[in-house]
Amino acid sequence: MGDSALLLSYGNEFTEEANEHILSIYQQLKKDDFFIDLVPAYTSIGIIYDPMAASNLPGDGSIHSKIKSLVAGKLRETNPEVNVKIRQVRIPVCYDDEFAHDLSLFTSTGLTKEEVISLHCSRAYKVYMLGFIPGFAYMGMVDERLTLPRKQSPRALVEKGSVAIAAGQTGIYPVDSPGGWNIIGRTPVKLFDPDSAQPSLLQAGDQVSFYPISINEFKDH
Amino acid sequence: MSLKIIKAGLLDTLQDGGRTGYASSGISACGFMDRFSAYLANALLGKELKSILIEIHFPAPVIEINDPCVFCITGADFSAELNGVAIINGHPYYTKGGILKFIKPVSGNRAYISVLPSIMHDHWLGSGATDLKMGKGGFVGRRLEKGDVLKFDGSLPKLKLTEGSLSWNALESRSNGALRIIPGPEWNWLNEKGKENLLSATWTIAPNSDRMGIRLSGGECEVSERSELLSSCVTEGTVQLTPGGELVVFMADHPTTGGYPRIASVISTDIGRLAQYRTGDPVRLKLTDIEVAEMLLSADLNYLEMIKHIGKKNACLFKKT
Repeated sequence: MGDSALLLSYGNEFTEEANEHILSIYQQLKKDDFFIDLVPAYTSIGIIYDPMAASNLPGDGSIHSKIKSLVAGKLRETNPEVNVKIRQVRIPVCYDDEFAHDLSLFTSTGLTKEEVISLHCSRAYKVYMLGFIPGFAYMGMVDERLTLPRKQSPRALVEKGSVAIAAGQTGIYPVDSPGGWNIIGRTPVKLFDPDSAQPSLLQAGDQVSFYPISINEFKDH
Repeated sequence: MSLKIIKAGLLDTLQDGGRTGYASSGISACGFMDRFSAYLANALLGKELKSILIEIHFPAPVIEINDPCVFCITGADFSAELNGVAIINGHPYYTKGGILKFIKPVSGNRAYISVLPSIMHDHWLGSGATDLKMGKGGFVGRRLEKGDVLKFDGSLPKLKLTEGSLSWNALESRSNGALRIIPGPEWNWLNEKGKENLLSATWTIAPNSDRMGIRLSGGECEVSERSELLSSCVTEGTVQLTPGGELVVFMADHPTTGGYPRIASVISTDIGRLAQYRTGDPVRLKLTDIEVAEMLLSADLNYLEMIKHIGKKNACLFKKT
């Protein structure tokens, strides 16, 4: 992908298995500081490198062939015994009408509001990747009864903390932003803190679950 | 000990080599739009290539220099003048102070002003680059405005100052030809006709181009592959083909992931050249391969390191004003 990045991809079809592979590769490659950036996504990972640093790697070939060898070597080192600790994160959500702008879209299929909330809170979601804006985590998959596509016309403004569902996934807007997902509630938790050494609360591979809070609890948080 | 913005320009920001290591959190790198020119301005003053400096567009700012400093301008030619005297790009100047103005846009779209002593600035996540979206880094995370004071970090080191022009040519030599690209991950989503159209069309820089991406319109290009692309990594130089047929080349402030086919990548050496095109300028694309891209990039960086070495040793003969 250009002269300063490699793309490692398992193809253009989403599977949980492909994402697991990518996250394991991500964990393995980020162990040392060689790469400038690593960008894990659903079924692929971008590996961004400094061509000048790469040119100093052992071997006679071109820079990109040296990088490919380096990556291949690091992946061979993967120790299957080593279990990466999976972070569990619980996030409070207020599903009050004031915040749940699009919840009625889900109840129009016959579900009650309580059922929608219950389904949303009933399972842990895996963070597949971060992207779109800082701290935005793509999480899935939601119960199939909560499946709705993205909105045809995105909103010009989705309020910070909005919890949303689209195309089988759930996500939270870390800042005010335009957005096309269906909003079912809001969290008082800070998803992105620019003054922190690790500003994003969530990272790829985390397990996230939600629990409902009242509007008073939201205001008191 | 400072510079002061007397009149703000269209978009003046403090930038450095960019914010790296946080792309997996969705944080953009930001930094110089035209790396070669920015690196050159720093190298000519003997500074590390990625050091903080001011990136300007046209209309450009009017800057009051309040204390002795050495500065160097590279990139676009905006007809710089200090106290009414013409300033040439690619040459360091010593000045005791005065008013720096930019009279008219002669060529290019982004210019770089590097200064000794360095300019104090905000750091965010290891970089001084301004992230306009997040409002962090650089000068309190925003563009420079009238009245802003840029403080110097310390005072000017003792310099050998001599009249006379530089004995070596530090001017940027940039190729004037087509923008060189290499195939991207979705290159084969284009059929043969699509590839032909891409490379034979005369594209135009579209008006909605900005630091996030330069848009090229006017050519006819569409993918024959009908599936939607799963969100995936994009980098500086990535060329996306949007459903409307417009190309977007991601630049310094690009988002970390995207969902449209990445049909090509502009080679690193030519990303800065693209940053110098102006709205309405015609652009052609030319296919090359990664080995050529690597060679050109190495040559550029070796040249810049050599200049920095000379600049550091103070073998630079500074033009005095």
